[in-house]
Amino acid sequence: MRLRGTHVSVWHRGASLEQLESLYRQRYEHFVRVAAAITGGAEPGRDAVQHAFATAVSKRKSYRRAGSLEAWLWRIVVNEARRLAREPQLASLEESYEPSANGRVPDELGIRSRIAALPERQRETLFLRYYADLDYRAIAETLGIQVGTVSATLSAAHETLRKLMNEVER
Amino acid sequence: MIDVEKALRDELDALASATGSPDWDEVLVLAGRARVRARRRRAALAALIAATALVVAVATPLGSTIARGLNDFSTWLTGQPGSPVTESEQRAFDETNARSWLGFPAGTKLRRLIRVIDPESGTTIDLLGFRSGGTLCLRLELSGGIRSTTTSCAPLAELRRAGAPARVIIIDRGFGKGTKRAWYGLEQFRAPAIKVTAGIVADGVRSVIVNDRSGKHTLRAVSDAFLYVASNPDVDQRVRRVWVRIGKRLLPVKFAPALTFLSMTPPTQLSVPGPARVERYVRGGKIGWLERYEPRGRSLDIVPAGMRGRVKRHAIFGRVVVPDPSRRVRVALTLSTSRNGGKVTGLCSWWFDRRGGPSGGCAIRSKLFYEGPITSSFGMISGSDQFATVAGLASDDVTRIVAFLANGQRAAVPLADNVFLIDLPRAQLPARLVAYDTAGRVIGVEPVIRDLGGGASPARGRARLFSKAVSPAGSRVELYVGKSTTGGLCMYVRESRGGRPSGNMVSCSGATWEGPSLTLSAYPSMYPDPPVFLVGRVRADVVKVELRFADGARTTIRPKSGFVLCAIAKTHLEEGSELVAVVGRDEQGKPIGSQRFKPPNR
Repeated sequence: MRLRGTHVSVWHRGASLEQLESLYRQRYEHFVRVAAAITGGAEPGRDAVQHAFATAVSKRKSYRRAGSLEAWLWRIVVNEARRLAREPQLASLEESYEPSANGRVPDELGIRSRIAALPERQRETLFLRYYADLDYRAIAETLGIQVGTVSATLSAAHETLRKLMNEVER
Repeated sequence: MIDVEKALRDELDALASATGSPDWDEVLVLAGRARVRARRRRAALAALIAATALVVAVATPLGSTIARGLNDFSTWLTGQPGSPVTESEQRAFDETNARSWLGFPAGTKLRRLIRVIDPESGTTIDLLGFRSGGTLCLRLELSGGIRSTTTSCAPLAELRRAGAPARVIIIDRGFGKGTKRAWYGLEQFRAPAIKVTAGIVADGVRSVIVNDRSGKHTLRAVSDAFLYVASNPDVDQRVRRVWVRIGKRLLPVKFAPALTFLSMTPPTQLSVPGPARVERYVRGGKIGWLERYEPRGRSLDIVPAGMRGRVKRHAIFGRVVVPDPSRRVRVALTLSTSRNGGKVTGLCSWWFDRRGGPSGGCAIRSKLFYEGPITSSFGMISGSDQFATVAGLASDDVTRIVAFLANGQRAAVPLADNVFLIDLPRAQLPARLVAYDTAGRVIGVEPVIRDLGGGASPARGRARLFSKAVSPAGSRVELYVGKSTTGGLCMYVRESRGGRPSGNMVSCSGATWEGPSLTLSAYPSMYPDPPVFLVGRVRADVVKVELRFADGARTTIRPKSGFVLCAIAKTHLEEGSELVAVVGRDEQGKPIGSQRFKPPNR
């Protein structure tokens, strides 16, 4: 029997284009920061986000609502950024810029290079925590790990950085 | 002990400015959805034309050892893209070239890149290319329905420096007369029959995507170039975005949008790098070789006869020099007397480029470098819409000049015989020229060079009559109001005498008020006429405007929706009683702004 003119609660699978666009616009800056941190440059970072969202648009029907939509998107962005980080980068206009310190001593404490030396999981956890402001649960969903593992990973990263930076300070 | 969390957050702040702005359209293109949309748009005729581009040749002989890559223009820089043109075409080019004293070097070889046929106008558009010294040129040859030829050049040095995967050289160049028309304020504009956008691509680029009002169009990169022809475009149809596709990736291409008849300078938010302060003050410099009558360059006699008279007028010595051998620009520098003869008091510079000439003029010799060791002017003479030319004179104190661009790049400015000239990419403005002495000290900093376009300008639609006034002598001023492109309003003032319009003045603003509370003008503002009309805009909190006259009289008017237009009474059109100032007052009568109109100095 077909129902007509009645409100039927339906289990919708997938995400709508509007939902994706809304999250894209709201969180764009955070996505790019994290992707830029993983890929090592703003331009490839931006590229990773654009391609990640293109993938999300194409595969939006496969989103099963097992977790939040944002976490699903983060997972795609991080995977895309990882993929790009492995690819040899194209030279772009950005690379020919002379970096402007703008009154600030760049990487004064060597923090960028210290972060770069951390294991991949620790780095990504740091980026998601500090560049994307995600909570532990969201980080866990994004990276496909346990919440407890996020906590331990962050703690280990902090400890490593603290040691290295204190050495520099001395 | 260091706070790790704080250090990490500081690092976040340092990266915050590098994210750019979101572009959902690009996401949809990447996801393949825009193509679906584009198919639905029957109006996308141009895409059809682009898709039917006739590939004449794709051979790219490259006699170079430089490795080909995605990030360079090796074929353009070291080889020859496309295929040779026919012998007769080459001969026609050589003959035309030989007739011009500003021609390309003999032996310049044309290469055929792409041909597109526009069925609507019956025009064949050939994109040719060639290298000439330090420049790379694209030449459009139109035949059939529309006949025209135009050449646009870009400096190779800039291409080497930028290293982007694609460069737009020609943007929205209009040809012929189209059928579409549109009103902008007080004027109706007609669209061209076709608009052409073209550029070059790096060796690994396979396709280019352009986006304009009619949709997104994918173009095959052929012979290391691309060509987009918009057929019967709308009046305001302009290319807004360009991407290149490399493998599965899309990369955005930076370019400067086409300047239009309505382009106005925007307030720029970008800062300009490079030194802004002079380290050693140099005033009263000279051009030594000219003062010593040294025969540098060529004689003034090489200037074509039709232009020679102007250059030689009152000149007692002069030479033609070349600031940059790779550019088709010549400069005649002369020492001149006044029209009555006597001492040498003037120094003239006359500039000749592909458009003819001469442009330029004379300055008092002793005052030319009075304020600094370089003088410059800004124009569009490269032929490419993407480059703005900055050129000028430098005193002997200057050893080198460097252009600092908004993106952090810097470029050495070609300087020879005290004349300099450089083409700067408009997409990387604002820029600043800085002059150095032999010790490397900054001795000259020119004002910031800003691009045109992007500011508030008239939006599509006809302006409506808002107010009018008639002077005691019968001249008439009408004030029209229309929308601006940035969400504000445009004000049009049309003056007519004896029933015939004598001129329009346009000023546009953004959605929010910027600047002083009163922006009023007195008409006419030039000596010897006293102000007859007062017209302009006031901020919303100005509810009364007090007019003050030279004889001490005052009168008050009320702005209407922030606009003011009034004719000055006959009693105040005489010497000693004319309008000299206005004061804006708020609801409580408190003065919140004023403007002075200097009385004519009689």
